[in-house]
Amino acid sequence: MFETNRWVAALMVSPVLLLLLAAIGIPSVLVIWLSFTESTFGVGSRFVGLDNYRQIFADNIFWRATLNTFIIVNVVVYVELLLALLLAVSLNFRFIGKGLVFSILIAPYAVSEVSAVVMWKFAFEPGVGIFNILLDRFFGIDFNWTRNPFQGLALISLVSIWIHLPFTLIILYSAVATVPEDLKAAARIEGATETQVFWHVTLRVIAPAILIALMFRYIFAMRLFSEAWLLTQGGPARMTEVLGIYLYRSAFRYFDFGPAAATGIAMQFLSLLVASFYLYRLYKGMRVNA
Amino acid sequence: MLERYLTLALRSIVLGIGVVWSAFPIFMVVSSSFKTPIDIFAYPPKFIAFSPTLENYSTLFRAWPQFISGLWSSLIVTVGATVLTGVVSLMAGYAYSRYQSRWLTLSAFSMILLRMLPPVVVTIPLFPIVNQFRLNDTHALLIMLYAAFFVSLATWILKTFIDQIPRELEEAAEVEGASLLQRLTKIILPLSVHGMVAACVFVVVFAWNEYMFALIFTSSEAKTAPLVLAEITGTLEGVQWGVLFAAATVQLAPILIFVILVQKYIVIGLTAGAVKG
Amino acid sequence: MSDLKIDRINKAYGDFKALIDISLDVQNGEFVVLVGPSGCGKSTLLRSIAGLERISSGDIVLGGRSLKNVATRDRNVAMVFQSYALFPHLTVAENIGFGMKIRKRGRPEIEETVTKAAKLLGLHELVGRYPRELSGGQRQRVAMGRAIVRDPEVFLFDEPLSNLDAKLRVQMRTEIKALRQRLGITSIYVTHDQEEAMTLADRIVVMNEGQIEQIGTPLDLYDRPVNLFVAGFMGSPPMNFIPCQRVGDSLSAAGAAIAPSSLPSHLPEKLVLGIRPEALVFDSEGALEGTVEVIEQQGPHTLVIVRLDDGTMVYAQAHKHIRLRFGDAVQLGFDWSDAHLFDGVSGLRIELNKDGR
Repeated sequence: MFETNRWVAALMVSPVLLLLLAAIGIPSVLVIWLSFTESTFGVGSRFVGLDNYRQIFADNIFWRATLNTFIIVNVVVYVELLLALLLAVSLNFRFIGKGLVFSILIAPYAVSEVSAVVMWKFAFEPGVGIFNILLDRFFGIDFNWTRNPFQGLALISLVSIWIHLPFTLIILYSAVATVPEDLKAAARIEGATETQVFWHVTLRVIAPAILIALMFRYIFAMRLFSEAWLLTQGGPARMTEVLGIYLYRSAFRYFDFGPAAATGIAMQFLSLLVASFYLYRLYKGMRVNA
Repeated sequence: MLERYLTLALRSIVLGIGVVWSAFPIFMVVSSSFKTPIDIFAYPPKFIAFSPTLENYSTLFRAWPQFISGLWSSLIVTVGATVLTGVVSLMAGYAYSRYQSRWLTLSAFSMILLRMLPPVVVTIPLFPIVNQFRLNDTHALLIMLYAAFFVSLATWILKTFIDQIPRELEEAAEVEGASLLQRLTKIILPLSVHGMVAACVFVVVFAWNEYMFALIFTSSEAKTAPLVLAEITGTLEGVQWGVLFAAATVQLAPILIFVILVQKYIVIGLTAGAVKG
Repeated sequence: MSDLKIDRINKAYGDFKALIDISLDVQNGEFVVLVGPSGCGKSTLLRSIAGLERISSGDIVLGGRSLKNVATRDRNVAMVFQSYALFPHLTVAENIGFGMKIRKRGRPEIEETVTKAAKLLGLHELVGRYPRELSGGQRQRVAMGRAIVRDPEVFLFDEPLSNLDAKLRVQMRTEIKALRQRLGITSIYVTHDQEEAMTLADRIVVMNEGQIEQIGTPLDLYDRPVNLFVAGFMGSPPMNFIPCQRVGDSLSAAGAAIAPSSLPSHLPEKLVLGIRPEALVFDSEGALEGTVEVIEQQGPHTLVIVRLDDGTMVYAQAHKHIRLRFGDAVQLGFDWSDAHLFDGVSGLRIELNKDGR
């Protein structure tokens, strides 16, 4: 088109790219360099080779944080997927008040991590929280998540699921809603039960959406920081730390930027590992379009 | 026939549990913010404040003046990040929609790749740089960071929408004498309003609620509401739950209403954006 | 209003040549129609004049000013698009006044001009409506309105009637003709419909595969097409082409010997005889013999498709009450003054010496 040429296009894309480079791109590269140096506040740096990596790999707490991250991410992602799938399928019919139900189901999306933590802390406050009382009374469970690391991790997962379920639900529900009615009707005519229709038709059609939701949730769940920090600060005795907290503590509590950067590299690596499959498919798609 | 009733019953149960699961925590906090300290932990719980009181709110605003400045900061940062995201994403989305070249494809790809990186990692190298340029504790820094993590999604959403505007409309405008800027403001923007809303809702919610960047990069001037809210949580003594609930309610109410109003666009945006970026 | 001079322009997309050495002079106030099959380059030529396509070489001069480095928005041309390209978020009045608003004209001036144009086009009761609330014909008029208020140097039409149904198309054609006679605007009009071209044009430009085949008045093209392509393109049903052979002073066509009164001296061996359906008459003395294949009642007359003895199919236009049936043996005659002769190899027309022409 006319007055418009590639320079115009480049100019129009540049603010976005500059912003991304300044805030994410360049820092992400600098982290690599920082992970090989020793510094406080990132200044007065000294090259130390692989020392930072040796240090974190020798640190039990790092491995504990890695394990915790691994457990929480998998629990969160798959429980969310299961719940979202159940809700999406249940939602997919006409009824009065559907809009209201949908609004309520996605309401947690609006809630900040801080407020969510306030809510759940209140419900599980040792001794006085309503769920604590109920758990104690009906199951005889003393749910003291501030002392019991396992229960701490469980509560972190619960809050995380509660906040992020709407994201998964929206993606899956849009997919479920686009499954052609004809397809399901055809399966019913062939004698399929509702359960069979779900397994053999609905699930097949929405498989790509499930994959996308899974991938995004994996990548975002790995970033876990706020809920965990606000609930337990990694305690007791750094037993409920996740990688995000480990990094934050190293950098901003102990001012050890080197090990923090090395932890950052580990997190980037894990994120890109999950993302690479998606990015590869996307890149092929874009090459075809261009 | 039996199967039909059974599935209907199952659906109702699932949705019922889902609604309670989503609404109950929000409801408890909001209703408790109007309760007296004794009622808050009453057992069995009182779901509705029978003698509603604004005591918690007056205590909040008296004891926590920084909460008000936190709200103000949050507002500035949210509006700033949203405007910045909207403007730069519209331009980029337009370019990606109307021009094609290998370089553009490559840049679009790297945009998505950058978005996949965990935010907490960039704080390490940014921290000294930010101090160097005296950007810590400023609204500008938060605006930039929040926008940076959402321009990629917003650009893709807007591109999808601009793709649907016929080129002929722009050609007609050009024949009528419109410049590129005039085409963008008089044709593209009005015709992609829905896309613009869909592109911006995410950054609005994120900027209003964000905690981690605010924790690391603000200390007093630019402290946002979630941060002050977390501080109230931190200094908690049994009696102050009511104040905390009041603060949580104030922080939550506007964004919750916003999300309910624009939920249509959240669905549109996630489906348009997630498929691509 | 200004003269438009197109000087040997070329346009290529990679290896594909969309326009090849196009030259055309359009006089002030003239209505020129570009016609040709789809993909012939007529729309590309029009868009090049508007500056929506960049030409590879050559020059376009409008009112004495070269448009080579002039952006579309500074060219002072107006254009009516096939899809109308009405802005869906603007009312009829805002659509019509869009160009004036862009040029920062005063509100009273815009209002006055828009009202005048709306009246002229019979849109004055619709000015507050949005395009989606209008019928096809009304949208077409808004697009026209947007073009005329600008007082452009040249008016460009890109198949403006092709999205309308047949009846509306004829009506709008008449309106465009009335409008142009009233406003006297220099216009370039693109269409693939030769009938539209015939009715509207002062001069027609027939294009094919990126080149101009012939430029002339509608009757010029109809009566003296320069080659087989133009002859076959103009007129509906199209001209009949009967392959024939020169045998001495005579011609042999479809197994019959036919001879014009005066045959030019240096004729090639292979020829094509071209006769329009209305020039073929059912005549028992006629030289061409064949059988009736199809009979189509068309109201004013009857169209008969005849298979000649050598297998060539020809259209003949007959009186509506002619009594013929499938399979009837018929003879067809014609007057040499209505016939055209083309070189069988190059396709070029061979001038016959005809009395009075």
